[in-house]
Amino acid sequence: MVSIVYLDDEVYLTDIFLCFFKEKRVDLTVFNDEFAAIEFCIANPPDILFVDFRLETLKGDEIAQRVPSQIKKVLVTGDIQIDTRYEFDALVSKPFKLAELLDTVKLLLPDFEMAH
Amino acid sequence: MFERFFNYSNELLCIASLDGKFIQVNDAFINCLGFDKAYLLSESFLNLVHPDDVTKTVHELACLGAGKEIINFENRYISSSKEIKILNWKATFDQETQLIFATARDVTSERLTSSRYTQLYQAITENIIFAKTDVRGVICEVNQKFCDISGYSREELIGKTHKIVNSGCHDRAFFKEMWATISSGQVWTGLIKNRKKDGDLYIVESIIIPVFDLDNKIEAFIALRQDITERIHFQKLNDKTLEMLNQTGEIAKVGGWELDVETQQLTCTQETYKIFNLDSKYNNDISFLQKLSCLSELDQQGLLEDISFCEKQQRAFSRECLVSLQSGEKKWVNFTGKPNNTGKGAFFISGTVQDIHEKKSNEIKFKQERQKSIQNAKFSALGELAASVAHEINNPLGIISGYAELLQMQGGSENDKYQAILKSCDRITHIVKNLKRFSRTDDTPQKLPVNLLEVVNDAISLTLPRAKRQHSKIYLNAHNEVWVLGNHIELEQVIINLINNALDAVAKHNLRTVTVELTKQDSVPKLVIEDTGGGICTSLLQTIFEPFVTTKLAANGTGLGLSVVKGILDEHQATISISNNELGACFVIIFPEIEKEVQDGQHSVLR
Repeated sequence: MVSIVYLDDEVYLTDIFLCFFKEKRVDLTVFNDEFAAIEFCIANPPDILFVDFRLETLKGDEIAQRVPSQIKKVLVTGDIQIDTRYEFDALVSKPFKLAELLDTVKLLLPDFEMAH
Repeated sequence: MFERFFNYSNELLCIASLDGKFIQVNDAFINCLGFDKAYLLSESFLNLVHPDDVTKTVHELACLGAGKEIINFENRYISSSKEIKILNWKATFDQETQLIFATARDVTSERLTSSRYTQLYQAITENIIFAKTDVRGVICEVNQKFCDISGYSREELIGKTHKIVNSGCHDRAFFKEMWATISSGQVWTGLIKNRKKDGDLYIVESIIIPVFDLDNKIEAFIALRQDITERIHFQKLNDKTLEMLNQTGEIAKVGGWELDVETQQLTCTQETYKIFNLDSKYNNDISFLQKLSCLSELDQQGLLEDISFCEKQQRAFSRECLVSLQSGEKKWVNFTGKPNNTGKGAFFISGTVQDIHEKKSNEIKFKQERQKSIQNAKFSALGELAASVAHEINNPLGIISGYAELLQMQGGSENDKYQAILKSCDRITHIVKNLKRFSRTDDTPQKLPVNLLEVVNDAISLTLPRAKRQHSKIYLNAHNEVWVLGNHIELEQVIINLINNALDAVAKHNLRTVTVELTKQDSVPKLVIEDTGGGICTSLLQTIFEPFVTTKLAANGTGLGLSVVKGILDEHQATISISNNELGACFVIIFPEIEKEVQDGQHSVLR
C-alpha cells in the first residue's frame, strides 16, 4: 500500500485529504504540526510527503530537507510565486482539484493503483 | 498795296503813339493777342502789358521818344484768353509823323523751351555728378559734385581724360565696349567703380550721352553719374544680413513668415519653405489657405483662431502643429505670430515657424515611456498585492473547493450547486493568477509564442467587473486558439486599454455592448474590438493614435493610452486601424503571421 504524509497547518485541508483518500488504497497520515511530521517521516518514511509552504515555524523546503531523501516531496501551496531552491518532485497549487492529487500520486508512483 | 503787305506779314506789325495808343495793327498782331481790332485801337497798350513789365515798357517808350532805336526789347502781353505772350520788339520813332513804327515776334514758345532746357540743365548740373568731354574724351566741363566725389579740383580735372579716376577695377574690354557704344551714337549705361584722389573707391551708376552738332556729328559726350557707393554698401550689408539670417535660421530650424491679413498673401523666408519641404521658387504666390491644407483640420482651425485672436486682441500667439508634408512624412512645427502694424494702412502678422520635430518626438517618446511606466507600475503594484494576498485567498478557497468536490462525489440532487461553487472558485483563482502576472517587470520583454485567445480571456476577466458595474456587456467571439509572437502582459495591456476605452464610450448609451472578435483570416491573426458608443468624430480618426489626442474630458484622459497601445503594437509588428460602424467605433488589429514551426514547437511544449 502507498504511504502518504500530508503536512498543512490548515486543519480543514488535512481533513479534505483524509476524506478523499479514505476509500482509496492509501496509508495517509496527516499533521498540522511540522515537528511531529518530521519526526514521523524519519521514523516511518512514507512514499510521498505532501507539504504546505508557509507553516507556523518552518517553511516547506526546510521540512523537505530534514526528512529522508528517498521520500518524494510534493509542494502544496496557495502562493503564486515561491522563493526556493529546493527541487520538489511535484507541485500542487491551492485551490486544488481532488483529481490533481490522484494524478500527482500516479505521476510519482506509476505502480499505484487506485481502489474503487 | 503796302496795306496788303502790312496785313499778310507773319511778323506782328503796328504803328503807335508815344502816349501808348495803337494807331494801326496788322492781322498777325490781332491773331496773336486775340482781341478785335477796334478794342486794340481804343485801349492804351500799356493796359495789355503784363503788370510787371509796364515800368520797363514805359522806360523803353521814353528812350524811343528820345530818338533811340529799339532792338530785341522783350515784354510780356496778356492775351484775350489770359495767356502770356512774350514779344520781341524792333521799333523806331518817326520824328516827322511823331509815330512809332514797330515789328514784333511772338517768342513765347522759344523762351519756354529755352527756359525748360536751362532749368533741366541747371537741375542736372546741380544735383547729379556731371561731366562733359570732347569727342576724344578730354574733360571740358565738370560740376561741383564731380569735384566733391572725386576729390579733384575743377582745374585738376579739366583737360584730362577720365583715366584720372580710373580705379583699375575694370578690364580693357569694359571700356572698349563703352566707347564702341557711345561712338556709335548710342547711350551707354552701367556701373563704374572709380578711384578718388585719396585712393578710396566709389561706385557710380553712369549714363553717357553723345551730343550731336548740326551736322549730326558727335561733338561731345555728357556723362551723368549717381553715387551709389552707399547703396551698394547697404545692399551688400543687407545681403550679408539676409545670408546670416538664412544660415542661422537653418541651424535653429526657424523660418519667418508674414501674412497680409486683408489679402491673405503669405510671404515666407527660405527656411520656412525648407521646413515644409517646398521649393521656394514655385511657392512665392501661394495663398495662406493653400498653405494651411498641410495641417490637420483641428490644427487649421486652431491656427485660424490664433490669427483672428492676434488681429483682434493685438496679442502674440504660439501653437505646436503636426504638419503633413507632400512626401507623406509628418513633422512637428511650432508657429508663433505677433501683430505687425509697421506696414502703412495694411495689417500684417509676422511670425516664425520652427521645426521642433526632434525635440517634440523625444518629448512624446518620453511621455509615452513615462505613461507606460506609470501604467506598468500600477499593474505591477496590483500584481504585488495579488501575490501577497494569494496565499490568504487560495487556502480558504482550497477548503471551499475541496469540500465542494467531496460533497459532489457523494452525489445527490445538489450537484449543480456544488458545480457552481467549484466554478466560482475557478474564477477567483484565475483572477488572482492573472493579476499576479503583472508583477513581473522585465526590462526587455521577450517575444514568445502567445495564445491570443488566452490573452483575450485574461483581459476580459479583468475588465468584466467594471463592465458589470456599469451594466455593460462584453461578448467574446472566438472559436479557435490563435497564436502570435509577442509578450503576454503587453498584449493584455493593449486589450485591457481598448476594452476600457470601449467601456468609457458605451457608458452613456442605452445599448452598452463591447464585442471582441478573434479570428484568423488566411492564417493572419485578426483581433476586432467593437463598441456601441457612438463612434469617434471623423476629424479625429486620422490622429487618434497620435499622443495627446483624446475624445475624453481633460480630467479623464491624458491622450496617451492609444499612443501607448500603438507603441506596443508597433513593437509587435502589428497594425491597428480604426473606423466607425453603425453603432460605434471599431478597432482592428492585424498581427503578423506566426511561423508554423514556432507555433508547432509551442504546441508540442504545451502537450
